[in-house]
Amino acid sequence: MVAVAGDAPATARGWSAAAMVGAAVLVVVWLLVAVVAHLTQGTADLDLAALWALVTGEGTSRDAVVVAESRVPRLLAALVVGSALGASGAAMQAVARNPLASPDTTAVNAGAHLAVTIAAVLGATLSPFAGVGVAFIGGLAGAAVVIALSSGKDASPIRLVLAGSAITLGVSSITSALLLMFPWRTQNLFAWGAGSLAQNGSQTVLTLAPIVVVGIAAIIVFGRRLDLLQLGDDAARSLGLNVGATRVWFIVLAVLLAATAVSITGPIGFIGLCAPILMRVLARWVRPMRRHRILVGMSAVAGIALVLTADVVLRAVVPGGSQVTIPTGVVTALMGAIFLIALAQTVRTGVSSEALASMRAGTRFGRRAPWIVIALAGAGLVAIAVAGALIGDSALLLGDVAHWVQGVASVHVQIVLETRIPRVLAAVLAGACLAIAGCLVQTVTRNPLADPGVLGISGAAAFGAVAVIVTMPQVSFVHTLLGALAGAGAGAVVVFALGAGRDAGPARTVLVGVGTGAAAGALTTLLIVRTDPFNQSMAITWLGGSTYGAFFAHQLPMVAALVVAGIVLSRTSRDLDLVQFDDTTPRTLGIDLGRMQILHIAIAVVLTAVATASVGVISFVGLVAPHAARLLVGKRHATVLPLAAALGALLVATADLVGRTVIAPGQLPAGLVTAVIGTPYFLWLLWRMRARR
Amino acid sequence: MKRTAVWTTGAIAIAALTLTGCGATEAPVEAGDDDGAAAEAITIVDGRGEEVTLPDGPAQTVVALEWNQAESVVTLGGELVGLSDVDGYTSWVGEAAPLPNEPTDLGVRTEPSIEAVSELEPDLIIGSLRSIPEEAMEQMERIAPVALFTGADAADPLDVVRSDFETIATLLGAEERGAEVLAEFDETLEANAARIEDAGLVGTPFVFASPYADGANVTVRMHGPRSATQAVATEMGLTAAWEDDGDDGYGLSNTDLEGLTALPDETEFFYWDNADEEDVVKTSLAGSAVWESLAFVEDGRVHPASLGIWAYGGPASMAAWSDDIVRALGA
Repeated sequence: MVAVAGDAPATARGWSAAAMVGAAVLVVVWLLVAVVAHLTQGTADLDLAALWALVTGEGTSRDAVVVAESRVPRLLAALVVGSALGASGAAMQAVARNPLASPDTTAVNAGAHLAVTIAAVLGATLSPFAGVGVAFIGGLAGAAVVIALSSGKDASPIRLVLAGSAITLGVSSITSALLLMFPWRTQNLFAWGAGSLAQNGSQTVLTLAPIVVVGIAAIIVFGRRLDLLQLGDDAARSLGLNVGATRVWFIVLAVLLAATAVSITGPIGFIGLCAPILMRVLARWVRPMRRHRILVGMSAVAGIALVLTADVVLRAVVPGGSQVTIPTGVVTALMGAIFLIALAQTVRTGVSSEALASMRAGTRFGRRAPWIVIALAGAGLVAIAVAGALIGDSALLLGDVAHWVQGVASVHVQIVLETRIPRVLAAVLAGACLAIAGCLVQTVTRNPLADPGVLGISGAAAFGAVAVIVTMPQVSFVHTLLGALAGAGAGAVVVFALGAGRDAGPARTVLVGVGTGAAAGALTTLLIVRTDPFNQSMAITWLGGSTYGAFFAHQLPMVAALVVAGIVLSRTSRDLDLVQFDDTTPRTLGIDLGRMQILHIAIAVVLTAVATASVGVISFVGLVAPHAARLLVGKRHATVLPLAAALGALLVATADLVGRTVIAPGQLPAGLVTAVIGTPYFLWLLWRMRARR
Repeated sequence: MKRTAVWTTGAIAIAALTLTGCGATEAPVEAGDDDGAAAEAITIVDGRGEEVTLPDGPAQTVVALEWNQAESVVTLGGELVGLSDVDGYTSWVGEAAPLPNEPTDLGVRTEPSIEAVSELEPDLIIGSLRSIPEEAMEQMERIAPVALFTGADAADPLDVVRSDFETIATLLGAEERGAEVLAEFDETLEANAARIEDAGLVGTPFVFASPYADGANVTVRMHGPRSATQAVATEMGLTAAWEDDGDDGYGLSNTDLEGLTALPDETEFFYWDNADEEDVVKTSLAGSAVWESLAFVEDGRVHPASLGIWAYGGPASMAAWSDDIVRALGA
């Protein structure tokens, strides 16, 4: 883990002062270079020479206006947003005593985005302050939930990242559903969701800048309390600190800063994570920076430098008009992803308190008669599938189905059933695939919060498929499938090559996975904003996880993958039972652990890829269904796997049915509905895991 | 209302299912009830390069998945029974080609309901290339012949408008009416070109833009020299003020506020007005120093235009657009 102010050998006072000056100079020079480069970039014809002419008073009046009203506002936005995010992240990390806390990992950005989207859907035109207010409420709600669910004495830093990214996933699905349902009202919120620095005049920035200045000043003024917090709750309390109130106030300040940043530019991802971590690394050599007053200030400066660098790089690489459509947040998200993956390499192995083994599982009835539970789930699945076939834009009766089977149905009934049944089937199969994949990943990584979605494999599959959708002139399913397989495979290779290893614990895998997911997400957004409007809406719809246009033949890969997985898993389920507890038991019993892991991860990757290729991204099934199964029948894989598959299928089929009917003839993608249903259950699950401790 | 209806029927379906087990919404179909259509089959080649055949002759009832093709059907006097996003059509295309009837709403343009289309039993389904997934198209093809059109080609934007329209006229058996509309379109262009000339506006730089605002962030979609809207203006004697060629379909590119400084000072700046959307020029751009410093803004050469006219539409929209330019310029 990254060194938080620690016990390096004491150095002479004079030397450390010099180091502090050196560090400050280093960061400020970086900042200045970025500022100058930033001012020379833009769509108007105005370069360094013209800029110099303005400085010496010889520039044209139009150049002066462009600099004053377009270049400077963008620069100001970067200054305000960068410093707000840097300071916010530093404060959050100190409060949570977790080097991975940040506005991104605590779902502040996602919560704020949702709140702003809801306001737009309700038709509210918000003044800048009201905008901050709305974003603040959303962000605070997000942070409160994540921190409440992931704090506690034994909680590992990774738990926060997991809870945060899962909640971010759920919350952003709700946002996407709203964007799809109200396309006209929320037209530009998609690009906004990725964070764009462009400003029309300085008014908004200048109106909101005082909030940021006051917020950062408050954190710095009370910065000593953050130092005290680092000593641990008991020590801080014995020194007279009101620990609870201090925490709450700093969180409120940090969220306020992040929410202000979000209302100016949309979420510029990962700045709040990277800037403080960079400064903490610097603090290893520069002793004064271990004090939070200085660390928060330096993080704010580093935040600015990072935002500016990302913006400069973006506009240097992308030519002319197209740079306008690419949000800076995409670049910072990519930067952050690389950072996260690199950071993961330094994570030491630690016994995680989150082990699957420690979780209670199984009801008494479920353990005694698991097959009855599975049969009940299967019956529920059949009922939902039948309902799915009968209910749609127009309702049918079983007799119609009978006619169809006998070949005496009208053309209308034929067509309705032949478009509806593949959709139901696609939902059922995809749900089963994803549930099994999630269960396998959880068992092998021994992490109850891991699944292909959280580990970035679904994201990578989606990236592969979207790349195919937007680049091929005619999209055929085989291409999408190959794209998804290639993407998922590449994602898995990255996650397990960089994230696993002899000395790596589950923590590293998860960090690399979250990083991979963020990178895939950023690249996908990049592809989408660069393509034409037709491809755009097609890709967004597809990303939402839709069974629209499902086709029997395209489900064969899922059927094949499920059959193969079924055969393999029926042989290895006993080994999985052992693997879920620790490394040593299976080894002593002669199980080749490495081979086991690779085999099961490969199965999970293929299941994820085929499901993603057929129906798009459907998250939460892999997370929620295995847990529900374990809660019911215990931890034996011979019963958990089939039950998880049935429950996953049930969940997605229900989501598909709801999505097809609530706004008929309009359609809501099943993936979004799944997330909307799955998020509350997942929150309850997290709460339950926490309460047990 | 429709929702509750669906739920109610759903609930009834489940009730019926559980109570009686079986039932059907209709009697089984007897084989061989074909009355042997007499009209001659029509075959065209659509935008995919595929042959589309209407075995029973001209299509009487049509479902349109996209607004461009819907506009052509309406212009040709065909019976449009189903349309994606009817409210959106009314708002964005309704001025140029108002709907004479109330077609069934099929839902969003990206996922038009196949079931709803099937219920309408149209003779023909038309739409744009790639607007919905290939598999969904295959399912649509089981309902009725599907003809897809490119809708836009920056290489010769107005040629596509004309040829797509002619093909649709053939499918509807309305070639005469089609030829009339196209002739009227050419006459409109000519007459308006004459008026531009009379007003001494030939060679005036002209651009059509569509600004979007989100908070403090403004993006302007520019219709470049290869867009259909610019092609109409160019045929009328105006010149393209925006130089970026844009994409190969619609000829569109994007810029921001400072990018507008690249426009010549004497530009006539047209922007897309819509009754249901906020006027970004008035709410976001007005008051901005960069915007106010642009010569064409200072001189009041900024025109809200194309209200209810589809900039990516057919001859009706393009003719209305041509008239709108003349109206706004006071020529």
